[in-house]
Amino acid sequence: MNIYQLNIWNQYVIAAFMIFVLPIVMFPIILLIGKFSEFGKKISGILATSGIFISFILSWYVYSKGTFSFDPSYYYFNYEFPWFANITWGVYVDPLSITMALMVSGVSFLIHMFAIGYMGKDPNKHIYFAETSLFTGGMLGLVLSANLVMLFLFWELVGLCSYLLIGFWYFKPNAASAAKKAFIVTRVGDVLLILGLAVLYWATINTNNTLSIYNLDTQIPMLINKMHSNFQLALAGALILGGAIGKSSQFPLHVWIPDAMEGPTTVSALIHAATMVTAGIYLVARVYPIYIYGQPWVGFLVLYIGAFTAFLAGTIGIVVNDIKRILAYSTISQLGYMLSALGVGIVIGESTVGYSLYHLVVHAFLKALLFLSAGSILFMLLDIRDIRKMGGLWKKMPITITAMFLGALTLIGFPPLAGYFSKDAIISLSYYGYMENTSLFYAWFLLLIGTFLTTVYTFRMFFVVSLGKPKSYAAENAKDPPWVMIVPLIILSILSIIYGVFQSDFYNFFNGVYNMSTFKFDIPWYIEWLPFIFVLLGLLIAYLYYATYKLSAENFARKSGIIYKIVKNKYYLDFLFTNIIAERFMLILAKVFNLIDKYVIDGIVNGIGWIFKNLSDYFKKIQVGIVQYYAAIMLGGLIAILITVIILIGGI
Amino acid sequence: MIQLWMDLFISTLYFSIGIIGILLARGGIKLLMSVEIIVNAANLNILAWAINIQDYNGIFFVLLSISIAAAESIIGFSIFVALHRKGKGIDLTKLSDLRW
Amino acid sequence: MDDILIYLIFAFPLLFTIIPLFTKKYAKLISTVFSGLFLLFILYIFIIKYDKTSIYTLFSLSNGISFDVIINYLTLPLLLLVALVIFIAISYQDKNIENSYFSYVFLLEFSLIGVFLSYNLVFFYVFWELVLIPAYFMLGRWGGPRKDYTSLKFLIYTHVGSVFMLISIFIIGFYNNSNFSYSVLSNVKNIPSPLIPIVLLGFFLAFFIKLPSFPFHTWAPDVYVESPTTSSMIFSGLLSKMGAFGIFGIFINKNGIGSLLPTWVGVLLIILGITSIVYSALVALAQKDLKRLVAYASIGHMGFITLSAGVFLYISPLSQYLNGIKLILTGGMFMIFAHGIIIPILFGSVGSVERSTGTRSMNDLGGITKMMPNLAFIMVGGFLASLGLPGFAGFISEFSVVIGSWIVLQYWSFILIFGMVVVASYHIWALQKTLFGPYNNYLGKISDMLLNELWPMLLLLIIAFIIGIYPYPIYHLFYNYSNILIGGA
Repeated sequence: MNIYQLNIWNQYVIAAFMIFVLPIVMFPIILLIGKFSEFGKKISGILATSGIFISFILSWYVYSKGTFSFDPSYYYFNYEFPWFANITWGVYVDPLSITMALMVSGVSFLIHMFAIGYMGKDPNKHIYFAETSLFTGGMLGLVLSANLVMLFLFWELVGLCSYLLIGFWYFKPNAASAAKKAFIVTRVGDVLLILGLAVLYWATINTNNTLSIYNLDTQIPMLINKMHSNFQLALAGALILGGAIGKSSQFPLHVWIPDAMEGPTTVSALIHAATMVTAGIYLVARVYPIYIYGQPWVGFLVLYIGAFTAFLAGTIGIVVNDIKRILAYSTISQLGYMLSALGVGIVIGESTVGYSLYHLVVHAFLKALLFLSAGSILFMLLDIRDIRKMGGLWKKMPITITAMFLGALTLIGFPPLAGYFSKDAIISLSYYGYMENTSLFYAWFLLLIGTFLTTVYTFRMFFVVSLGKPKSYAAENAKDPPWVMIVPLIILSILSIIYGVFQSDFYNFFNGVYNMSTFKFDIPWYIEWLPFIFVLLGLLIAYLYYATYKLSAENFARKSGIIYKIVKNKYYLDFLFTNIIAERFMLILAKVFNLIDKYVIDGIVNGIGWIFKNLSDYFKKIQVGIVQYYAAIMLGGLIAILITVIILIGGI
Repeated sequence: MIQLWMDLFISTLYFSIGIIGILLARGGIKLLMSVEIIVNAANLNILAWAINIQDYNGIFFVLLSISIAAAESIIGFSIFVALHRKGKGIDLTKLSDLRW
Repeated sequence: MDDILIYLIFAFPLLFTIIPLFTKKYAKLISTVFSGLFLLFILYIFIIKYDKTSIYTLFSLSNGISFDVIINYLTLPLLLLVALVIFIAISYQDKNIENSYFSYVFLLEFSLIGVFLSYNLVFFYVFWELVLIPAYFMLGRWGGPRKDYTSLKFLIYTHVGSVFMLISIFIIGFYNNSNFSYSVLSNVKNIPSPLIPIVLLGFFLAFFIKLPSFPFHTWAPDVYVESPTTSSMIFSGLLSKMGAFGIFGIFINKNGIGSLLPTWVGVLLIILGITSIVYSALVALAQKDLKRLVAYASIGHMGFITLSAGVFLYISPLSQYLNGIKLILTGGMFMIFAHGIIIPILFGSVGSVERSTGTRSMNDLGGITKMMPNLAFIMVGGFLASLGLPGFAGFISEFSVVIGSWIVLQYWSFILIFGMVVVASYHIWALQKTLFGPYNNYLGKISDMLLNELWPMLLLLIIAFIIGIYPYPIYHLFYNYSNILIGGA
């Protein structure tokens, strides 16, 4: 496969630029139109949605090279121009980036359509739509960027929009505080990413070191002839992984997503399910040769961080009661699956990128579906978020609950829905990795247990929400939301059902990324069906505990005792970060330095002034005002000078 | 015959009387008189040397010096008269306003 | 023809000094118009003198002391920055102030242009000291409650540094036949070696006290807090650049006295730079006064300049790292321009908060976005630009400095990025306490940003954004200058 270098006037290059420039340009337009006219506020949603739709059409155009058909011919292109120093700016279109662009613009379009109904009565909705438009443009720029520095620019831009949107209802103290936490935690990841770029920059200093993706893909294989270079690549990979951990909320930087649910539900659907959190996965996939050619420990790091997070988040998801937080932990867990799929590449090579990305796309659809159905429920139930106050919505909101049911089935990996094809492929892949290299055992094991946990928390949520009797007044009077919110749900449900068909086409499509061929592997049939057994087991457990109440969840919790307490407190990680590090360590450190600055350093400065003032207070006492005193001193000085001169010159 | 060393001796003695007068003066008049004595002693010294090395330019310098000394003592007296009119007296130990 | 333009660059501010003294009511209007026209004039000069180096002589006092002016890659963007920031500051200023304030501002502008443009060490020193006079009055007559202590501290502290620089200038000049032009800085071999440390120490003290860099920074929080908002903008935006200009123009120039510097000075500068960044970030986190927090933010930004100069000194003998050396040098110089544009936005927003609500203490503020949405937009934009968000000008310089310093710092970079996380956290914390959260009803009903406060800040924010996306016009000049610094042509 060849990457062609095109020039600026090629229509595909212009289209590629327009994909992300258009929504960004809509940001000030929507903001100003909405600020200065009432009519502008009403149409802000429609403006934003149509902007995203045009981006989607343009992505389709670039994908299919103008034919708008399903099967593009395989050429991809790159266009760069200099930005500052020798760092460039441009677009890089290959299967990885155009798939992400299609997914982002498509899902964002559906969520915007939903938001027209969901945010319909909010007085600041023009600000909301402007910010989500800016966010979508930033995300599209991130996936289409040709240079890692440009990618970092859009990375921070989406982080900024996430901050603004989480804190959209700024007068709620929880929302403002959650936005601050999100920004600072992702900032920790971002500075690690900057260091990773620094290591890469100096590793390629004597070649064409513009940090552009096109150059990296060609240079990294050449670099391994240099001394220490695979350690440097591994170090760069670990630091870039640090950035991905922050943005994609893996352990230990996952603490910001549950609090980020304070924002509007459409924000959670857009940012924290489908798009921004997948930026970290995209980044690792984009610079994947680093992980292949670097030392193997970095690949193991990727694998085990992903697997461990998948397991950890699954366990916490079982004990929370807020519907959005359940979905948040589910997102963290699924992102762990994607990351560990990327980690298996130490055994298999670059072809794992296809597996990871397939699950990414399917997860985007189904998580958006789940969040939007949760949004419909919240919209109709006046923002009650505790699932123990819902119930019996099966009869009241049939379309929404059907959509949620389909989404839940896809999430747990129930054949023949799309989730089965994507998630079970990853688990099988990790087993194959174990067969090749026995140190991957725990990764496979954790991912397998994760399936069970996913099923339990998903269907716990589903059964408690939809079955039984309504447990609150709002739940009794619920009904299905307006059509503008139902249509996206239906579209996403259809996608979740049928997308499994495209599995092999998807993997074939991704062959173009790193010049590889689709990886075929064989594992024993009983291992391959093992995840499905766990799914059935999980369904049985959830049914017994939550649908029919044959077994009591409270008794189980009481019997687990201390384990339940640890999991309920989110393994005390939040406590560690907020109370210990932030409050007791950093603030005290800051106060100590403040005191040092005020009393030690400034004290030295003031002290010097004090010394001189006291010296002058002492020496001024010579001026007594009596003339003879001065005369006597003059006489004495004169005699001293004369004696000195006589001694020095030596005789009269 | 008057020799050089006699003149120098007299002028040094005269000079030291003036110095002691400045240092020990309590009233302003005594101070001014002592200043005059010092100037007179210096003039005597210059005259002695001028005659000794027969460079008679020194005599003109002495004449200039006498007139300047006279002018200076007039200014000094007028300062003390003004001070007396202000009611401050001429006791030097009490005239110490220009101090720290 | 060119000579006349240079005379005009100096004559206009001197003329504008006198004019506001004649009118009482229209002083602000006339000053705004004049500074705006002067900015357009400087823009014209920027365009016609782009990418050229030229030296002019305005008048001569003796053989070695003549008023030479240089316009090269380093001085041209600084000239533009001076005109821009003074225009913004005067436009922001409330018109109910004595007319002598504006004449002090123009006198300050005149001296600043002289500092940046002069090619003769004696005139450089004269203008350097001349800056202190209007600055002292701008702080001492219209300042806050502690203005007496603060203005005296500012004057004496910076003056002490400058006096040591005078000794260095004398040593350089008198060992070169009393020729004080900048060109004699290349003949550093003439200076006998016992005197070299004195020369270096003199310049070091003057520039690093003015910057302000870590051990010598304690005048800055007091000065920036006590001065009125416009004076803070000018002090932090322009006066600190005098020190940075001295560092890049005179101190580390390998064609000049930079060749005398031993390598351990590079290590010292690196340590001072990192300490400035991390220390000022930690102290800023503990502040309750919003303006003092912004002052420490300003000190932190200057730490990047020190760091870039230090890395250059440490690594420059190794020529295989040429791209990286140019990247980090240009990053440090670009910070001059970026910080000069961003910090007036911060001081301006804090000034608006103080005018509207009457307080600067973060414990008393909260949720004021409800009443002041325009201010919220400007303040969020300014604070995010200050913490190095990509898309604004600060990112380019911070990114270049962090990337370029990796080769020297290796694992010590983790201290640097820890500092960057603290910087981000105190900015976001300040935003959250002031703008977001529930509205503090004790504040009553407050008014939004005035129009004359809003449009200068918006203009600066847009410029910061444009420079962040398309830095080429300014970046190119600094990139060419870094070639000169390395020792090439």
